Amino acid sequence: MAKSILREAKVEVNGVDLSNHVQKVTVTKKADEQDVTAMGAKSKETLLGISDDMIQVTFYQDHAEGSVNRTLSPLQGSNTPFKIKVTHSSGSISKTNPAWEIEECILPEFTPLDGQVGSAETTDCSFKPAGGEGLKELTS
Amino acid sequence: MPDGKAATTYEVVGRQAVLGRAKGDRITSAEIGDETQEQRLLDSGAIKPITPEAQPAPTTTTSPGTKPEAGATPKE
Repeated sequence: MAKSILREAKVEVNGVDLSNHVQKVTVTKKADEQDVTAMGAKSKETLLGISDDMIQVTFYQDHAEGSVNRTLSPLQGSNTPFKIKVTHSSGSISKTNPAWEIEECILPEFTPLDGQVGSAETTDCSFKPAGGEGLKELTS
Repeated sequence: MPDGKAATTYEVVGRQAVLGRAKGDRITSAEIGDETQEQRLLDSGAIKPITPEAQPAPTTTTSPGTKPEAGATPKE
């Protein structure tokens, strides 16, 4: 497989395709590390604990109907989960074009206004699982 | 969708595509499938309702037997 340039990642939040406002997207798979080193050990022993996955997106802000601000603002601060899905590139999901999905996620923090004079208005969002199955990788 | 609630057809009116539909396309509440998501899409201005389906227009027929009988006099 050739080296890859990210050009067409698709980001859907609550069913709304916000891809054309995405500057950066990061899918993080992570688990807590638990130190279980005991007497007699010659090196640290670590076990994985609870997963702590997330999807981080930097959006170019847009206050139009149905766009970034109007989509994300009502999602922040609600414990009613929604879905976020990120696909590596346009086209069908496959092993070579995977997607990542949090079926039940929440948006704990949202910054509707963040910028300085003359700069592009952006907002950084961290989408976190609200229980359920957490982050899933889709290959079909 | 719970039984007894008529399906609603929406038009995608926001700048962004919704569930694979572009601006101007139609989508039904059944296709959205989740009432909370449907309400959030409505609140965000991404979709707007077009016409409710399966809601017949109200009829204006009068039922027989409601007219006063001929010759009847009102009681005082």
